[in-house]
Amino acid sequence: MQNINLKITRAKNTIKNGMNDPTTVIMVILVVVLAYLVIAPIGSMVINTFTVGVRDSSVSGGNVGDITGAFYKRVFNSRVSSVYFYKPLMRTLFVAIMVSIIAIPLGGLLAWFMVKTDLPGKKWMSSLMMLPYIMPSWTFAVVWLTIFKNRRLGGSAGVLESFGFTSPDWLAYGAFPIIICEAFHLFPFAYSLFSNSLKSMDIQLEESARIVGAPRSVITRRIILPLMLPATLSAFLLIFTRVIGSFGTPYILGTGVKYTILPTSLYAAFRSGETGVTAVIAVCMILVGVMLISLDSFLLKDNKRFVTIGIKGSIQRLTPLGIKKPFFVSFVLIVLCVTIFIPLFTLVTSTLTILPGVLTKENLTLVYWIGDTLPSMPGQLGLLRNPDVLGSVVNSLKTAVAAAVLSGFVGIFIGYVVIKKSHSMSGKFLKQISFMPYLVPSIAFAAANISLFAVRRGPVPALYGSMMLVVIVMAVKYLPYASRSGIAAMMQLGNDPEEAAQICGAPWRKRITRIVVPIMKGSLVGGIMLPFITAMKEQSLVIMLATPGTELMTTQVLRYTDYGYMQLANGVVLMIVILIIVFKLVIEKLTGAQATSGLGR
Amino acid sequence: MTGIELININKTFTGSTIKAVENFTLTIPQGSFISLLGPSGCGKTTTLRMLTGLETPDEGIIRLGDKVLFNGETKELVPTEKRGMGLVFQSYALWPHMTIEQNISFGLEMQKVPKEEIAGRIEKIISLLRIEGLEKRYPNQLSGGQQQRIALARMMVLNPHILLLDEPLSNLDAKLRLEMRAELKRLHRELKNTVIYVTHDQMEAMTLSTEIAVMSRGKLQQYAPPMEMYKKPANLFVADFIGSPPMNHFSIADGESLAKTIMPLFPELAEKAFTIGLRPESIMVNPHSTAARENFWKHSAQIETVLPTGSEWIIGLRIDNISFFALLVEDCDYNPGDNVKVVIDPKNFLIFDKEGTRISR
Ligand SMILES: Nc1ncnc2c1ncn2[C@@H]1O[C@H](COP(=O)(O)OP(=O)(O)OP(=O)(O)O)[C@@H](O)[C@H]1O
Ligand SMILES: [Mg+2]
Repeated sequence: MQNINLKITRAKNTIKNGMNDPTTVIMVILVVVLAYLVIAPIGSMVINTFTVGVRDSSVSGGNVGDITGAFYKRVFNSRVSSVYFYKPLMRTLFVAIMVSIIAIPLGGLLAWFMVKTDLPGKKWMSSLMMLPYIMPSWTFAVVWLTIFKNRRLGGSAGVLESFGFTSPDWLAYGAFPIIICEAFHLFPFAYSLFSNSLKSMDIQLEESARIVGAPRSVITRRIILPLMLPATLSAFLLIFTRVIGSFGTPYILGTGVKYTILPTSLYAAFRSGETGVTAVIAVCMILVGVMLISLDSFLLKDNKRFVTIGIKGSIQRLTPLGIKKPFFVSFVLIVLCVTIFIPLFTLVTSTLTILPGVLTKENLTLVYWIGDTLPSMPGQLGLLRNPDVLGSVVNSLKTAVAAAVLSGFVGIFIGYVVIKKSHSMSGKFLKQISFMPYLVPSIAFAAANISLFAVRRGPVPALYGSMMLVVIVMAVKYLPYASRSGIAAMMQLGNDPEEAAQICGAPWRKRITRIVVPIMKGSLVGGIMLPFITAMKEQSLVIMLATPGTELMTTQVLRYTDYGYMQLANGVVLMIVILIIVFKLVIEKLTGAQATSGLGR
Repeated sequence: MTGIELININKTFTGSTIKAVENFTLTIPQGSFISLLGPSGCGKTTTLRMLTGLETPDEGIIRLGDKVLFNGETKELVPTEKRGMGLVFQSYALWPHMTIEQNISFGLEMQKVPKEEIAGRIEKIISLLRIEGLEKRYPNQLSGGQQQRIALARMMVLNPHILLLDEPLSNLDAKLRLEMRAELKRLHRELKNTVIYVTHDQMEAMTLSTEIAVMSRGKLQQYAPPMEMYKKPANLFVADFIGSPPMNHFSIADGESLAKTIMPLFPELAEKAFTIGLRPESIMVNPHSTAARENFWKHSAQIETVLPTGSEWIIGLRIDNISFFALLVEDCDYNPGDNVKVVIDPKNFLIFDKEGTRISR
């Protein structure tokens, strides 16, 4: 009897103690909600791969809900397997390898110039080099189409055509432009990997080689290059994950000639209503994504053997470029010109000229911005008067702000809980799960969410087609950035400041509002800024979620490129870039923080 | 007010296999100034944190008077913010986004002290701790020593009945440290609160405390007033840890012939004795005939080193193949190699058994 009484008291007190410290409650809520938003979609999609769905029965036969192997068979072993899966897979691999072959040497070379040589004007060059990060990944594709478009697709003519040159199909569409455009977008990414790696390399390794009498060329070949090997592997794997995750470029440049890679193949299956097949392709993409990133972090761990962090503030010895300097400077300038100035210039001029690219006075026009009948675009109004465009601007801003703020705050709370409960299983689980969306290619994650939210499940309503779903999916997908920054900030802060407030008698609510959140403000800004920029450029994640009522700027661009309305597409791209830059400047001004540091990954 | 009682406290951190605090029992009378002393990692901070409730013990009971703060059996637990204790963190833990003034006033606001009163109390504590002129600055604009004093001020302004200090003087220079020590002692006399003071500086513990608790590897080794701790260490660990230069000791197995001349003085301990210890200052070197009594133990010795420290002399001696340090206060002019006579009052021999427990009286 006494024993039972004791047990009851214990249970009561344990509950009371738990309520006293809301950290536990928050942790439980976060774990449950995130498990639902991260694991459940993937689970539901995996179920879709072997059960007959409402729209599937024509493929699989059988009744809705039956278990079937038909979708796996269709993807892996049927007449259409090569169209749906094998060809896209091989092409994805091919594109990734070709992109790496271009982007890695280019990025590495530029990193070497910037870090190790006395190239003039390094400072502004290296900040320009980060500009492609701010531009959507598929900007180049839009620009490419604007320049090289031929009559194969309808709509307005390409720039070259207005000068009387009709580009052949291989130049206008398919593998070649996709590879070039992806490479142009991704080389700054290789650049930042290499320049970080070069900067952190212990200068003494080089100096000791110099002391034993090694000439500079030998040092580069025998010391620096081998030490760069891990960064190279890492760059390749991450470029591969980027190619798998990117939808816009292959869609814009590949669809016309049926050059599909995995993300576009998934989209095609989705559009033709094959839920089961979509799910199988998505699961494959997720597996590949998980494999690549695990391989990368495995290599990263293995790199501990290569730890070469130098003494703090060690000064780089700069290689003089000597008489070859003008040659190298022009090389860098050409790269910047091709990857930044020409695209931006093309975007701007194409929206201001009737015959695209022809810069004569009578050819200039503002009709694409403010006109009410546009040449060869029936029923469209100029950008600034076009209800579709304006509506998409509002939708984009709304969703980006909502998703960014949501993931920023959740990120902070995850950081808070993870640090406070660092030893508990749930704390570790929370940390893991908040990073998981990073492993899942965007378009596959969207597919997974559609499969979960297509119908009402218990208390959760069917959200497909709503703005809410777009916001939720974005917030979850960007959570890895936000929670990483939250965890890092909390780690640095530690528990002490909050505990000191607790000692002073501050209840939990006061500790959060007066101590934790104000101290974390800086990292909160970063945790909001990065998701905002990403959300404004997001295409892969939202293309399947967008419905006529929830069109975003990025999906609007795709509609216009579909119709061949390049001027309108370009105008919207410009508006995106401008909005991002304005937002970034305003936030940096307001907070004095470099919000885009850490944009690298 | 009332005393604090810790009964059989045990704590093992999750993910660790060793006990950070083990079977810890301690009674702290109200108004005392207790030092928790021990080497790094022995569980001092953990003990303080359990007292404040920032850490929950696995088992045991913590009581404040007749109020139970924690009971491992029933899982009763009074949360930190309701215990009303003050704690100065080892890391200071000042709030970086608040000015010094805001740092100090935060606790008063939490206790709903009226505005007019807050200003007065801040002013008082600022002049008490001599941190005038820093009110509008932020913590990162202060030196380590200033930050430490702000951390002290932040807690002391709340007048807690129990003030816990985790190495509060470790970052001050020697002079300021001495001054602050005196200040703490004065404040304690004035405010009559209970202070628990964590340090690994034995000098600090000896000079400040009414009682010292020496810990090692999570276990309480001895709890006694400073002089008793020094004169009658409970075991070899305490004897070794307290005193500078440290106590001389040798095992009977190593110094068999020397032990044979000493042990006849303690016939009742002959069986259990294992180690013989001797404080450096209880070794008299060539004493005046008046100082050396009939029954004192005498032996010849050879000088090995002579180390003047300014006020004292530390003499390295060899007595029958065993090295000793002696501490002399009067001037001396010995040279290495000199032969001298050493004389020791038998009651100054400390004798320990095989487990290291002191068995001499
Ligand atoms: N949060 C924790 N998780 C795991 N182990 C811990 C934690 N805090 C302390 N420990 C361990 O508990 C033991 C006691 O630590 P504690 O901080 O109490 O030592 P201390 O006596 O205050 O040392 P110091 O003088 O260095 O401050 C150590 O072995 C330490 O490693
Ligand atoms: Mg400590």
